[in-house]
Amino acid sequence: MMQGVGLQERSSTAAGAEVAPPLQAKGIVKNFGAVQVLRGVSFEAGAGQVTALLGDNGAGKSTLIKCIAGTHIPDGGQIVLDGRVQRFRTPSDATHAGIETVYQDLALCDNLDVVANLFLGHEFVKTRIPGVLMPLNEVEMERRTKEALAVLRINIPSARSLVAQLSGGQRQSIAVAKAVLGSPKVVILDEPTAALGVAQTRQVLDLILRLRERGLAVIVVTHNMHDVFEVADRAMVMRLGQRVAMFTIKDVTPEDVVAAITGARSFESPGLA
Amino acid sequence: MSSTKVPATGTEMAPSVAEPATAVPAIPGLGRIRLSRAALLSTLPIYIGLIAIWIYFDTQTAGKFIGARNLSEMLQEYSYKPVLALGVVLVLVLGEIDLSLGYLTLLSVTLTGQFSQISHWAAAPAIIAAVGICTLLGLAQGALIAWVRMPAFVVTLGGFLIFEGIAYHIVGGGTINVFDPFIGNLNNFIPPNVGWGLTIAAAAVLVLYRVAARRNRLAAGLAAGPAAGFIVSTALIVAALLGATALLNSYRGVPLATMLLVALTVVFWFVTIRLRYGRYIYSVGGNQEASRRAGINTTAIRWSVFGISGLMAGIAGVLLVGQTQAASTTTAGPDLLLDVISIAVIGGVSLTGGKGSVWAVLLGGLVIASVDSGLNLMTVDPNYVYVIKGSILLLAILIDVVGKRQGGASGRR
Repeated sequence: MMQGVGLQERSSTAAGAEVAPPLQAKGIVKNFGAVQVLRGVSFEAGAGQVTALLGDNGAGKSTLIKCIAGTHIPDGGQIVLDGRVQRFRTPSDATHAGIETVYQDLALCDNLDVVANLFLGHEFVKTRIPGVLMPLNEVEMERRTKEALAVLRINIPSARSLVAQLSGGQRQSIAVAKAVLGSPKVVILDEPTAALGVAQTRQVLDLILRLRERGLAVIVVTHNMHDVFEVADRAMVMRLGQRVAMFTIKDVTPEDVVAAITGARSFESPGLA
Repeated sequence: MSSTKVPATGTEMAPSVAEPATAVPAIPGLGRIRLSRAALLSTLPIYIGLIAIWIYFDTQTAGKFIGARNLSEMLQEYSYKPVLALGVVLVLVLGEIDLSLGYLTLLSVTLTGQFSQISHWAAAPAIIAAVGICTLLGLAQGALIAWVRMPAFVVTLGGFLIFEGIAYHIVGGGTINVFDPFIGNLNNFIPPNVGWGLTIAAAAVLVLYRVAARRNRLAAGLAAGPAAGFIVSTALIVAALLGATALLNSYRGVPLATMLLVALTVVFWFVTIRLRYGRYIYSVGGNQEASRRAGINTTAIRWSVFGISGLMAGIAGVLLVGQTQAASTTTAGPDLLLDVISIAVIGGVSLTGGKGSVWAVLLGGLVIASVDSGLNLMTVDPNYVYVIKGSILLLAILIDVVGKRQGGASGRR
């Protein structure tokens, strides 16, 4: 399942080319009891594009992400990945299909080093006696780790540093590197810069731009307008379980986006998207 | 999941990440060992403490403590505790606790006595049955903890009472004398020439392993630390092995139980550091949710570790029967549990999970054995012994907690 460091250039299709986007969500509905949290949300995430997902607390961003990542099973609608309709029952279904999600602070073991974290659950082994004696291939894992860190230009003291010894930005970068190691098509980042300082935020935003360069479809859930205008190509705004706007960032101002989030102005009629 | 070759990423083979010039060999997965101030602060007091304990006891006993005879007998008598502590280390790394171990060891003692002496079984089936039952009981507790999700504290406290009751019932308040020659021989010393042979073979394997590992790293273009440091550290380990063997051979040889302890520690090292299974014990202890998301069966890991804990209690019990040639209610108990937790914590295993290595049992075991042996030589009132050992446990945990608070600046949790 692990295709090695999945960082080869995926395709030459630049943003906006006329190819079906890798991820399409069509009319996603999710209810928790009587509460309708998602009321038919549709959007698509293009290859080599960063799509920001914005909205106030309770707008349904997290629920939408969890439906796409297989944590929640949607009550209606379709998730289409590379033209094929997907039915995710578990998060690992989504991972196998090519959707990786990086949640805040959930991804890493502080007590393990960077190599161990990157390959956790997918360790390389040397088969001495099949099924019985298969020691870890630390040398190969460390080599691949350094390769991956170099490709993504992630700067850490050593591949053998404990994650606990890294800064917040470095930790977030390692979590992202771990997610893209399995050659996903879509990477979802949940609040990647929350709780980071200025320089560390810069590191993570640069990393997001590199994922875009590599042709991944990147979805960033964020509250931070600065981040959106730094890295995003498009921004989708949610409000009360519906999509209320889909902006092309270069055509709008932060004020427009904020107005959509707060509902001060309406940009598209909900439900028709 | 295997190391299938993947074509290189072509033009993307950027220069490798900067490696500090002072790189020191790492424990794979658990990070680099740095000769930093923090690392020294955490282990140096233990070594100083050990030397202080030895000097104190030696002066208090008119030179009887430091000597081939007492040190040999000390290792012979107390090697079963670090054996038991090996299982405790894994349980603590998971972030759990096993309070039942003292009485589970006693149960192993009494079962061995029952099978060998009352049922007249041969040594092998008696030992296998006793160890097997303890392993199953460990697995049973583990099932309640891992699958039913009952707190380990409560489950093993229940086990504590249950195993105590069964063990007391078996010996019926008296003592079963065990005369089986094989079990008795477990308390023997290895003949000096055999001991030398084993030690030299072990030293040779160790040197070859370290050299091969270093060559592999260098061949793959990875940093392997300065050659001088490598040679010095390897020479120190070999010298320690040969020195210990020479000392023990100048009395009656290496105690069999000590040799077993070292062999088991090497096996545990291999399992925890070189296998996926061990990596997952650490990952579950570090971050259960991340482990689950990585596709690790955290429930099975948790369950199996309690089985290993039971297995080690079984083995420790058999060693105890060999030592005392008897099974009675006073052979083992809750104070043994406290001793083995002290051993693990003194050796650097954290009570909050995820941290510490199995080598902890050798250092911690030496400290606890020295205290046991020294107080015994000084014929200290047993009531004071409890107070002293309780204080040592608290001191070890104090160091763990304070060390963590100071290390908290770099770590997040």
